[in-house]
Formats: sequence, structure tokens, C-alpha cells
Amino acid sequence: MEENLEKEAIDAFLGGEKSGLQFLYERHGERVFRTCYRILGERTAAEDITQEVFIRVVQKMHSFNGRSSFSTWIYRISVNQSLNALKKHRSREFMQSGDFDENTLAKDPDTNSPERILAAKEKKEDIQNLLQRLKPDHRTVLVLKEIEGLGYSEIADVLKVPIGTVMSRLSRGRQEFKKMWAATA
Amino acid sequence: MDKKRHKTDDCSSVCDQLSPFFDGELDHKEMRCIEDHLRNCPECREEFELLGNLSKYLRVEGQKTPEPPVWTALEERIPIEKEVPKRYAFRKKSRISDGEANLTTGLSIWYRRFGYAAGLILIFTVTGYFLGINRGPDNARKETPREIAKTVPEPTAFALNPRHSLGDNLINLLQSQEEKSSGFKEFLAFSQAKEADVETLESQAGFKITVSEELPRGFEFDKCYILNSICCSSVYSSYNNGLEVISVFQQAPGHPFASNFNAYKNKDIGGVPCRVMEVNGFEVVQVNRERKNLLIVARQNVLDGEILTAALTSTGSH
Repeated sequence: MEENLEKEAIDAFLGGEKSGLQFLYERHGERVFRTCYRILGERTAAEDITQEVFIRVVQKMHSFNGRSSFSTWIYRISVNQSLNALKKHRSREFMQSGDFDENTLAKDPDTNSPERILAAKEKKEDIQNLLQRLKPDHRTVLVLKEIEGLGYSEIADVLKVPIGTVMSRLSRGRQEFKKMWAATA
Repeated sequence: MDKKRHKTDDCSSVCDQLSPFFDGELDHKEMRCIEDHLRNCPECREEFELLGNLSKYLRVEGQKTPEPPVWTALEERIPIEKEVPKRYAFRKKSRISDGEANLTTGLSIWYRRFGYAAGLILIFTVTGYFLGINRGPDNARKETPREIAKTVPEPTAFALNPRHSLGDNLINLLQSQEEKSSGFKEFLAFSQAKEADVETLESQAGFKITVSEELPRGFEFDKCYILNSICCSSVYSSYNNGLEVISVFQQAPGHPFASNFNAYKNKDIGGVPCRVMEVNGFEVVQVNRERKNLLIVARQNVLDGEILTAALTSTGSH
């Protein structure tokens, strides 16, 4: 029933009805925003990326073939856009620093800086600060599993990785989060 | 002593499996083994409970986010085409019944047909204008890269072959250099392991992109990719509009594009001071940024300030 409504909305939008897109936004907008917010850690960025996601949906709707569900598809776009925004933001900071070394590039440049760890210890960190200290890959899987409630196979479909990869990233992400969480409790 | 070690090994193995066990993602036999272990091991049971608390914390706290933007705020910012005549209506709107057909409806059909015809004529005119023109600043017609490629003789010094795509050239070049530098081996393996990010490329550069279904290598003839590699960054390619640029970080000495420095000449591209070497219908552009030595390879006459800036911005995104 729900899927039929979604299909109707997609068909309607492709037929020129803006209300079709509105229906899809009202149905998926909140989860898109929440996913982006939890990955990016910043509200304004999440709003911008949410907009980007729906622009992408408008542009690519004609190519949505229904092999995966619409929610998987839109999660995939949300995650990709968020991670790309994250990379772009970090690379700009990195390029400006003048420090060019492949080992440095491979690490997160500021997540575990001494200043950040001190700030975390001085106050009880909230969930977002803790999430931001995880590597993006681990953070993404944790968000999709724990906050968005996706299953392993759906996460694997969203990220286009094997289920084994989802399993290991989730396991590591949980371990790291648990250590930080325990340290600030 | 042996029993203790055995218990530790078991615990270590169980702890590794606790996460998928918690999510119910193990097979029945593995689930039973872990359940049996947890019954007899207070430490592992405590770990399991902690995992449960963590999951609950994330589930509850994770939902507490700021309000998402409302539809009306988004609607005006998302480019949606004007509504076109519909074949059918979405269920919220009512259909026009047959009984409501009248003279006004009939006339509006002819107005629409006239509008479509005018639109088609306009599209053909504009397309013909742009297809016929690829003009440089002095309004002379610019040769497209394909046309340039046809006139350039077979390459000699470098492996750059203007008859092939830049992606193809680059991978051939790097494969030939593979034995000389472990850095390139790493680069090649890395770039081949990553998937292309066409959406990013399109949104950043605004280029028309066609993509093959077979992506795993990260390169494709006449197609376009972004390489999520620490060594090589963005690849822009579009044979449809005649634009092709590759940007590459110079990562190791002896990079074939970086040799023969005497052949480089100073050039200003869109306000960016560069050194440019022309070879076989391509330009190899060197841009220095503090300790970074960035090389950008493009077909001749296609690189301008805007594209260079886009390439330099995008090359940092890995």
C-alpha cells in the first residue's frame, strides 16, 4: 500500500506533478535530513545537503529503476552527498595547511586533536560530538544501523559494499564509540 | 593455565562476534554457541549488556535532531520544471470529466500545439548555433579536441596518444611506469579499488558525463570518473562537448609528466600562474601550491580559468 503510494508519487512527478515530489519529501525528508545531520554534524550543512539530495532526486528520478526501494536509493544519495561534502570540507582545510603527505591524507586531520579531546573531557559530550570523533565510514554505518534502523543487507545496498564490510565497520564503530562514551560518562 | 588461556581465546572470539550477534545477523549455529558462552561468562555478558545500552542510547538520542527544513523552503530552491500537460492526475487532484470538455478546452489544445512547435524551432535554432560554434575570444571557431586529435601525428616521446581518451593514456602511462616506482603501483591499485563518484563530478564541474556500467577499474575509455585516490584526484571527461581534463597530483619523483622541465613555459591561465608543456595535442600544466606540485593534463585549448579552478578544488577532495 505504502509502496503503491510512493510509486504513484514518482509517476506523478515524472508526469509533471510537483505534488508528487512534495509527497516524497514529506515522507523521506526528515530521515534524509537526520542522516545528513548525523554524518556532517552541523545543521546548516545538513540543510544544504538535504537540498542537494532532492535536487539530485529531481535530476535522476527518470533513471530510478525500482531495483532497490526508493528509501534505499535516497539513503544512498544522502550518504554520498554527505560524505563528499565532508571530504571537500576537510580537503580545503588540508590544502590550506600546506602539509602534503600521503600518510596525513589517509588520517582524519582534526577528529582526535589534543584540543578536541580536552574539550570533550571538560564537559559531558553529547552524541553528536562523539559521532564526529569517529571515522566517516564507521560513523555512517553506525548512523544507518542504530539511528535509521536499517538492516545489514540494506546498509550494504546503500553503501554498495559487501555485508562483511558492513559487519566489520559496525563492529569497529561500536567499539570506538563505546570507548569514548565510557570515557566521558 | 591452559584452561585460562582457552577461556580467553573463546572470549576473544565471542567479543568479535558480539556485534552481529546483537543484531541477529549470525547463523543459527553461531548464535547458539554465543548464547551458551554468554550464559557462563559474566565478563562477556557484561560486554553484551554494554552493547545493548550503547545501541539504546544511540537509538534514542539519535532521533533528537533539529527540525528539518519545511517543504516550502525547499520548494523554491529546487529547480522543478513548469508543469506540463498531464496524462493523468495524482490522486489528490480531481480529474476533468468528459462532460467538462468545451470550446475553451479545444482552443487551449491548439495553443499548446503552437507552443510546442515554437519551442522545437527555438531548440533547433539554439542547438544549431552552439553546435556550429566553439569560438575563442576572437570569435574564430575553436577546434574541438577531437579535431585537434585527428591532426596530431602519432606520439613519440611521451605515451600520450591524442587518439585515445586521457583516461586511457594515463593508465597506459602509469602501467608502463609501474615497475619503476612503488608509489605508482600503490596509486594504480588504490585508484582501481575505488568506485567512481559521478554524481560528485557532475555537481562540482557541471560537465556532461557518460558512464560505463563496468566501473571497478576506475578508468574507462571516453568516459569520466573521479578517482578517490591519494595520488590521483579528479578526472573530468566529456567527449560530447569536447572537453577533457585530468588532474593528477605529483606524488613521486620521476613522474613521466614531471620530467623534462625545460620544456615548460610560463603561462597565466585565468589569473593562475602556471607552467605549461605542450605535447602531442595535450597541455601538461604545472601549478605550484607551497610544497605541493600539482600537474593537470588537458587537451590543448580547453583549459581555462574556471576549469582549472574546478580541477584544483576538486583534486583536494580525497
